[in-house]
Amino acid sequence: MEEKLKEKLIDPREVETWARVRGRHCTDRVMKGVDRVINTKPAFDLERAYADMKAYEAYKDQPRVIQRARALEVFLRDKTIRIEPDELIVGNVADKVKGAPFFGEYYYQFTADEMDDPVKDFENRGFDEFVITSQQRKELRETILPFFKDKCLQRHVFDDLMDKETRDKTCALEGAYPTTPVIGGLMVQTDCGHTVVNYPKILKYGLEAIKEDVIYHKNQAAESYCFDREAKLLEYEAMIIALDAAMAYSKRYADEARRQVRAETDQKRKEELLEIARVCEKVPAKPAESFWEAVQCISFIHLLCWCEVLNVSLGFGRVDQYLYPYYVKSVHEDKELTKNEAIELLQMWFIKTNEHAEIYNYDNAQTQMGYQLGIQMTLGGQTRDGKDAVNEMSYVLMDAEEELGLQNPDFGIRVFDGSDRNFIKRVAEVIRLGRGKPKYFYDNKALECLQKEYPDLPMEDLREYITVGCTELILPFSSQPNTFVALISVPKVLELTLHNGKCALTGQQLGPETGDPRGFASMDELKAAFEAQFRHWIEFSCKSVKIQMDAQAEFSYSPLNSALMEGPIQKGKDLCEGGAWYTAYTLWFPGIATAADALTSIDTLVFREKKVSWEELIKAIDADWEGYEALLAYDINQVPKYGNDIDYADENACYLMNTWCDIVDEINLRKDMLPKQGGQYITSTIVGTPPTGMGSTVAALPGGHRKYQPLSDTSSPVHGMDTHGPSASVRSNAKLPQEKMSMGNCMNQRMSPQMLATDEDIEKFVDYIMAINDNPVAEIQFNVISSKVLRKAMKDPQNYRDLLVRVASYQAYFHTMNPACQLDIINRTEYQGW
Amino acid sequence: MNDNRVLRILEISRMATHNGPGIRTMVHFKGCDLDCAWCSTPESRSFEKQLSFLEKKCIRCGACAKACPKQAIAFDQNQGVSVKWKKCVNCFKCVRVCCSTAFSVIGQIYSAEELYREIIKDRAFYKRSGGGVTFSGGEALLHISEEMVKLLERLRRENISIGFDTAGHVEQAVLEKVIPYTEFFLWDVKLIDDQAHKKYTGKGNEAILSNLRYVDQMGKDIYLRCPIITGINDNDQHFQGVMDLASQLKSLKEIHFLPFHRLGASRYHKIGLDDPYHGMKDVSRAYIMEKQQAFIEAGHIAKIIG
Repeated sequence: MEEKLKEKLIDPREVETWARVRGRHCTDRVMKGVDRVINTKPAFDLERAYADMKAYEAYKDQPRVIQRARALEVFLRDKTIRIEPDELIVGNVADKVKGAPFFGEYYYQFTADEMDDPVKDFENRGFDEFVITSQQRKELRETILPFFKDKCLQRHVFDDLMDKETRDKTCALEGAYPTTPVIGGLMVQTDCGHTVVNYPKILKYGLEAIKEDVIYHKNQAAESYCFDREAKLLEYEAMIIALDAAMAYSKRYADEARRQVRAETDQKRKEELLEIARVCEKVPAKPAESFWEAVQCISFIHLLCWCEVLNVSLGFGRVDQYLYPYYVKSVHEDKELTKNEAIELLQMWFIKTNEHAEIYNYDNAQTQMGYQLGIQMTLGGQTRDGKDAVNEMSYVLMDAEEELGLQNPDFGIRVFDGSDRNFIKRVAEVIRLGRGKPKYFYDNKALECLQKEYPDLPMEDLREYITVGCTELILPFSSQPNTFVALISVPKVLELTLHNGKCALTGQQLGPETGDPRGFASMDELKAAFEAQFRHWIEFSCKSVKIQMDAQAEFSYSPLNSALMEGPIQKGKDLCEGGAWYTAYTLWFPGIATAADALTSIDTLVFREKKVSWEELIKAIDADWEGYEALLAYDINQVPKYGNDIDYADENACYLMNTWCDIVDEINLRKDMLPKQGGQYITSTIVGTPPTGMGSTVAALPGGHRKYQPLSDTSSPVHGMDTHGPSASVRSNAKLPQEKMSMGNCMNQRMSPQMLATDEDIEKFVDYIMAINDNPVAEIQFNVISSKVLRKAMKDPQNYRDLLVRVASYQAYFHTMNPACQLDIINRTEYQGW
Repeated sequence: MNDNRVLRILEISRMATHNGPGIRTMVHFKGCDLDCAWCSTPESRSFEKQLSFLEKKCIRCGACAKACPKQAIAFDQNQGVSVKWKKCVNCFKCVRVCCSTAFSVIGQIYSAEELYREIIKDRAFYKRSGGGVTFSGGEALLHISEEMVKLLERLRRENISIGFDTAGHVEQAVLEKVIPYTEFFLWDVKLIDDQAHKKYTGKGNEAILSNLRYVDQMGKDIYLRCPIITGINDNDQHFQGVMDLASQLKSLKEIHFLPFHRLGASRYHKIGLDDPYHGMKDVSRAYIMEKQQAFIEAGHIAKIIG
């Protein structure tokens, strides 16, 4: 009775970070793994570079796809592997914890430019830093970089393939327009990713069976009458090499485990190592049968995928659906594992997803700050026939995550009217611990989005959808969504429109002359000019993407990932060539709220209230509002803003989204705009960290935007402008035509911990979440950390190394971000009292 | 034409979760007949629109001083704006010229239709959570005009739950009007002793207690709301009095203790008053928690809000 009362009487004001409310209850060895990933600084790992170099030399006369397969083979064969004394689930991407493999062909240019640069060098650039030893620098300078100089995709694309105008307009670093609205050079330092391979199939049949399948298709191709037979045969050959290399890799761990048995004195550990050896001999080559085997198989496959491809957001899909039978078998039927032991295994697997890092160049890192890997799994949602899919595994996964709380994996929770309310509540309890995850996706809206991308598929298939990366929606195993090909800054395009195509910061004539706004007699005229300007930039983005993707089709091959997806084997085509059944290219549009508020202000100030003339308004923004403080104050305080459930302001945000969706739909009808891989362009407002990346190239705008100020994030209201509470801003969000964006949408809300302190508060939060089903948005996610704690963390980063926050659409460690980004998170509107 | 704007509203806040069951919209009326020493919404006392000045929004353009017909605003580029409140006649000319809304009008008059449209915006959230609208203030029960009764009728017809947050110092007839539409009452219990009540709120509590009993008898859910103020009622005697009162009510659902806070201080300052919190210490939270436990052990649902 005492205990029960004590629990009830927790002072709700005491709720701060999760660390205070609920300490980690994990086993000691899980804590060791946690300690390793939190306290190790990411560092360069050169083993991949050396493997590539070896393979290039040994197979220099082989076709490119075979070279790529061989490079993977050499890497997996020669790379350093480890089994830590506290591990049960094994596998490594890099040579050390938080190692970042160095892919010479993709990294050459920016490494040559930025290493040793006083501002941009990876060790002291102020965010996403990497340790490079002086020995490594020497090796890079003297051996590695020279080797890759003429094998670099970036140089090939920019020097050989891309025309000057496209380069200038879409690649700020390469071209003459540093303030271009397009971040469009993203596909030259990366390859295919954002995919989820067919885990259920791999678990059920094993890689040996998949290899048999490839051999079968190879034989079929050899006998066939198709005209690209040679290319197909090469792809199949590459897949076989890659699959063999993958199976050999796991056997290396079996050998290592046995080696450690011989040296081990502790009996218990000996038994564990023997089990590890047995499991690694079996999976992923053969079907998994027990829970441990299944988890190890999934982990191996996942790590192997990362060993091959150089893109982020390789996710897991609906783990609660496909892992559940193995859980039932081991825990309930065979009773060889307790629930807690199963949780420990899951946690060890989760830790593994945090053990490596990826290197981005100085500019790109700022759009994805925080060592973002985007490893997500999807729980809940509906079965194929529309019933609640939540099961015991969903709960167990939440239990494992609640105690652990690392950056990866991320969790997407699908919600619909029939969702198990208890599970939604369970998720809310984890959200309130303040790590920025999980996040909620609404089936009612997501399915509409997906119908756009997969118009021929029945609803049963669409109900299988998963969430990857940040908040992207795809069908698993069969989609290659290329979700990070280009970003087009909506506020910047508007700024150009207001200056007849000239950049307000540099004075350069960036875009077409769409008209001097001082002559516009109505909003319609402004909108016509804006649409022309917008179309210009979207077209150039697509042009740029096409050039890069076409280059990728001949340069990048991922035979292992391809063999594990659906489409490539059947088509005999690599993922990077468009082998997946469904290929798409996602364009992102940051800053919708900033731009919407600008339109509302122009309409109100110039046309409706006639408070200023165009002339004066343009002068005001060109002066960054200096000397126009009264007008700025009026604009900020008295002109309606998006996010307050006011139709007049929200309609401008809808207009923007409709406009870009319509333009992209038209572009999809033009063959000359689509890359070789086929498929279509799709859109979303999901972005990483636009504040620092893109705010710095935008001048002041109507609506109160100041020069260089961070742009609004995702599709959330401008910071501080939503003053009517969370239900108002979510209702504003629901008005947007999100169903036109196949990738889905993203929205952030920040709540202070006091709002979720008691059980009653959580119940009401769940009501809030469920109510959104009636007027759904695609996605919503929460940061539940008080400004007080965040400010403390800024001052005292050492004590807050494990503080995770939600950054736009993913979560990152607060202490790894630069001050501008940190302040941006602090400044996001915080809903205090209800 | 009939101007049916008669509802004097101070504030409307959506997504309230500690003002009755479920997720609610709070509608605060402007106008109260008590004068509580610790009041955190002093601008809710007057029934009339009044001026507010928020220094931190001021951008020092000086337009207000020029516009004021009564020389009630002094402006100096270095010192900024200062308001001579005694001279102010609430003409609001300063508000009209203030671009930053540092000067603003407190209080807006709604018609029942306008208020209805605000309230139903969150209808989906009420439905899911068993929430609705809570009328508060000021003193909501002093605003029960015909228009208001029609609004209550309409909300009731549409199954939107209605609650009243009240101090209860009204004629019983008012309660008779609203009870048919009301699901629950949040009822202030500030002081038990009549004399003390008069001293600290300006009015005795005889009517308050008799109304409470009436509502209890009518079977409407009651949530007692007990502000605990340092040096005034943070003592055993008061809590015992509340306990005795609670034991007499058959429709009592919960008892909420609201610890003293100073969050209303800036609300005094912005209407030109000094706040009454100087020298007041915080209440002992541990003491309130101890008392809360006693209520729980006596079988009540007792919470601390804030």
